[in-house]
Amino acid sequence: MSLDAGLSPTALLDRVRRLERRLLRQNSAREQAERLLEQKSLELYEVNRSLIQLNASLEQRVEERTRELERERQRAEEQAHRDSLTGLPNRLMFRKHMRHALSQAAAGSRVGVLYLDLDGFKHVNDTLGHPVGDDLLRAVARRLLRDTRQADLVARLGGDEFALVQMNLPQPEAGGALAEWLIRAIQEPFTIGPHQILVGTSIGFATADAAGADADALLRDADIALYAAKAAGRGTWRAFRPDMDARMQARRQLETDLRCAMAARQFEVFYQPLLQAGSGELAGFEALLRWNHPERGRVPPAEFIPLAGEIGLIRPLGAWVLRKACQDAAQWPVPLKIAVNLSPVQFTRGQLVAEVEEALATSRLAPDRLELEITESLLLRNSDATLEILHRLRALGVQISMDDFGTGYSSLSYLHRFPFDKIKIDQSFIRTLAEGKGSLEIIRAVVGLGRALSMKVLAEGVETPEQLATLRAEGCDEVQGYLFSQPASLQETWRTIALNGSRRARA
Amino acid sequence: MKGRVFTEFFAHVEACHGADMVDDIIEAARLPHHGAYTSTGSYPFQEMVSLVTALTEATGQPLPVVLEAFGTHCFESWVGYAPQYFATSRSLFDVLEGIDQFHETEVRKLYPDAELPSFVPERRDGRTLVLGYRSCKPLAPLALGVIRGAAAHLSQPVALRCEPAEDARGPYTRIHVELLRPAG
Repeated sequence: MSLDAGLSPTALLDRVRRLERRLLRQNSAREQAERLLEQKSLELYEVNRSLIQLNASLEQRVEERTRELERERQRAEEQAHRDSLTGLPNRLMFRKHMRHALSQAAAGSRVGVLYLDLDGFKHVNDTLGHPVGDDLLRAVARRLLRDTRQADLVARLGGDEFALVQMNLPQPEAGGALAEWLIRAIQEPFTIGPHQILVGTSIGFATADAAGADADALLRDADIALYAAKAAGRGTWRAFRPDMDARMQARRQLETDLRCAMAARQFEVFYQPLLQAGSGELAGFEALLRWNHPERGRVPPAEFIPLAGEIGLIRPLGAWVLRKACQDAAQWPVPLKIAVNLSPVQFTRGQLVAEVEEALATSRLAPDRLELEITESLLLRNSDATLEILHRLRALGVQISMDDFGTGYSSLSYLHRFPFDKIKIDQSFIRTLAEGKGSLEIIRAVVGLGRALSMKVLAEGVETPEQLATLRAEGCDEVQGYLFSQPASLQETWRTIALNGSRRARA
Repeated sequence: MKGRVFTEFFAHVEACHGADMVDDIIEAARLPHHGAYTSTGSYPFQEMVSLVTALTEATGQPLPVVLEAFGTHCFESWVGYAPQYFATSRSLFDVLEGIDQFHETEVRKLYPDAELPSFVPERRDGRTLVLGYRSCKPLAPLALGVIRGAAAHLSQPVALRCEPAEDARGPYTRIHVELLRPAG
């Protein structure tokens, strides 16, 4: 609609007014729009500010979280370096710490490593259970920490093994002194719950100049020294010597060979004759274990029997000797006695009576021909249970002898507790007969004791005719020793039996 | 009610009845601000009522007719603004069911505080769609106008029927949309 000249003034006026009002509306609308726009800008500004703040707080949270994660990571790493049971550093941390300490050590200073393990720990674990075993390890850890300097590191390497590092050893002997101290400290009873537990420790000790020392080599040497300490009988410490390595290797090799020996049929039972002292007649044989090593030949029992004990082979070996001896003896043409040595180890686990029964049944050996020899050390531990087993063995009909009589603390009291059939006087008394140091009197007394208690008395280790004469004169019942025969093979025993038989025939 | 509805209404009135009619209904409605609306502003619903009433009086057309015509105009403006929701390849029923989505997505972007009506499908088969129309300013004829606009846009003849309904949320209007010709 345009402003037309043909409109009347009234229409024109109306037109103008309408246009004016429209203009007014448009301006007003525009102003409103502008205000709303400004408002929107303000809102936007506020939103932006909020966003910036939010962003800042988020960033802060991320930073905190990162720090927290880092802390947690370090904690986890620490955990990986800690033994979870005792809280001590574990092997990983121990080696790290040692390497670090060595790199930091002052020139010319010496560093020492003690490597220890607990004697008798396995027994505690087996008899009292693992929870008690764990508590014991924790108590040992505490005691070790208590007795070491701040600068030293105490770690648990695993199982019942612990290690200590000593930096700046004042003198090499200082390590030995600490080892002594620790041995005594660990010997003190541990109170775990209701139990009073006794364990011991064996310690290996190695030192080196801090400069140029190799952490792993030092630990290895200490371990070798520990092995030597254990071989020496445990409850002691040994300082590493270069030749130990060779010895330890040899011992390890022997261990391995021993384990294979049974399967490889390298064991043999030898027999040493027991004679009547008066008539010289064959009374029986004592069965003795021999090992024919393929390279070394005959390995002395004194060397392999303790080792067998340490690696838990005594029981199977003992059972084997029992079976073999009964079998061989049953074949003999004459009903001679067969004496078999028993180790205290065979009395644990309650299978001995069954084993003896089985050996007798399988071989059909008459029970009263079997003599079981036990030593005093057996009676020292767990006497009641042991005595019960002895009685049950006796009930089978076998005979029980006390071996090495006179060498222990209270041989006499044991005679009181169990009716032995025979007492074997230890060879040390026979050997020293000629020295006039009282051995004769002792032998006399023992023979008298035997008579009074109705026990046979046998003298071991008879080597000279003079000894034999004396023993005969004193009234000893039986004798055994190199004078008559060394322990010999089964084949030899047959010969001996035959000889004895023909001699008797001639007498 | 958002200013956009008012500005659209004025555009519709101008298109149908000329710019002078817009002046006239504004005057007749006796608005406090002389009818200056900006699309992004918010204004009392009562003002729309006054304007629509003024239009019915000025044109002599009954209220439902006026509202329906406006509804159809609204639909056509939506098509121009967001054609993807109203493509002719879609079926009428799908388009109608998509109105809520269009509102919530496209309209809210511009007018975040708008109180929008909702079209909720209740039942659907090959020939009939039942929609529940809910609005805080119930203008059922507007809704019918929108539907007719959609039907025209898609060249789909329909028959519409309204009835009052109620559910847990309160009263609303149920709209029956019946296709007069099977969907092609």
